[in-house]
Amino acid sequence: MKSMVKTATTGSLQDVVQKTGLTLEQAMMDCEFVVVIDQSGSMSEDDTREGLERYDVAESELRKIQEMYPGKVAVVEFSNRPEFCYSGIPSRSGGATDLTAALRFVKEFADGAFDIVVISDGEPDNQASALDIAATFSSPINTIYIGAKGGDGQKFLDRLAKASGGQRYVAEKPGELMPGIVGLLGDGGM
Amino acid sequence: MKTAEIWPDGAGGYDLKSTYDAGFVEQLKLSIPARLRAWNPNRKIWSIDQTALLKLRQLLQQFGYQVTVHNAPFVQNWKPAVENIRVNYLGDVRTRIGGGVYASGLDERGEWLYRFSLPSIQNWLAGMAAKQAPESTPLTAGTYYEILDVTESASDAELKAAWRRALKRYHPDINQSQDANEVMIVVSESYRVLSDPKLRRRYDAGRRLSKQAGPQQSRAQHSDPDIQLAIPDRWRCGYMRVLCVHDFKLVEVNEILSFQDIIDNQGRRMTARWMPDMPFGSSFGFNRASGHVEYDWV
Repeated sequence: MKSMVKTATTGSLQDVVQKTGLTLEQAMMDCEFVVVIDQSGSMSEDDTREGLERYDVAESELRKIQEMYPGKVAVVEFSNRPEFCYSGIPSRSGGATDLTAALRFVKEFADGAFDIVVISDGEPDNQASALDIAATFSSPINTIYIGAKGGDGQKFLDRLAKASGGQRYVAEKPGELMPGIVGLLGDGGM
Repeated sequence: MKTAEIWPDGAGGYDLKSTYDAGFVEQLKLSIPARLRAWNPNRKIWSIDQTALLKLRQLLQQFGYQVTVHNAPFVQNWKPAVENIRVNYLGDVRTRIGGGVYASGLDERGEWLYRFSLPSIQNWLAGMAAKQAPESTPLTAGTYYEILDVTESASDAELKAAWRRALKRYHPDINQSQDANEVMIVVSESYRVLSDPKLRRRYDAGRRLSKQAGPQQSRAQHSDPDIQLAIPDRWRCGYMRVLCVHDFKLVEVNEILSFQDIIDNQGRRMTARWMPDMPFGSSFGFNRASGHVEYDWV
């Protein structure tokens, strides 16, 4: 059974705040990336190359990234609605894929201040509205597609990245997501 | 001169004999419910229930009576005086039978001796709240905006002006206080962040996200537990310095001047809690007025 009490992932903002005594406001000033991670029901598909659920691929890599770059990544998860994931561990909530609401939420606080990475299987409830809002971002929206190569989801995420001038990566199995983000972090001047 | 004489009737009430004044009698009948008063035509006196005494006192004052009280253990002095009283428990402010609005206070002998007027409670609580709000300084302020004393939409020019004001006020060359150095560090950091658009946006993002992250992100509130009266579900027993009048068997408190806890030799405060009595055989509902006070040291 999944525990209801979340322990902060090593290197997550919560972990950094607890270890350093900084406030979250202070910790956020050293943060570089906002990772927007899809937790909708479609992420439970196990069509990745090693037969793992898309959730597994996303979560394991997200953990490693936060360990490698402590305090540099703020995680926002979304399904029916967006939510700041302070512990760094997404909830696997399932449900809808309201990417538009997630991008609207992120635009409010993160646009122009952080680089943005969307990790998703590219199956939002409304592609058009998500693309519309992506086009209004001043920060590039980078995308990492999780799932089988060449699917419609991958094509959508390519368009999303292009709409805001971001880069795009594909992660079919654990180990492929991290180079994508690390590449982005490297581009971010870290 | 109109005169009034009052004495205990030996049954918990009081008798009143007064110079006739039609206006006074009319007001007495209007103000004091019939069940709390009775006219004795043979003796030509009013019998007044003790719960209506406050109202009676007001009427006598209103109509200019010179009042004499006989054989009362608490000879009334209607001129307010400063006294120290011990209050073991203070009830809720309620509208009472007879029209009074007050909170009853329990003395150390377990008698509801004190009546706290509504303004006395209100003014006291307002004074406590004012004490609890510490003077805002850069070291006690919550956000960088508060530290610089600017609004969240402050422009670059406003920030710069705030920075100069802070320099003039807190620079250690000018300000001789022990905190001056620390204040300048905090003020400088605030200005550094808010004057950099990217850092300011990141700081604002943190403030936004901290609301979702929960209460653990809130900066510690600067409060002094010694001036917080309330302990959940409990009353802190204590000594009060009050401005009061003795009104027959009661002490009417007009103003609370100060409060002091009752502390034992282990540093614990004496507290009291009202425990309503549940009527025997009743599965629901109870008379809130029925109960007793339990004491504890915390």
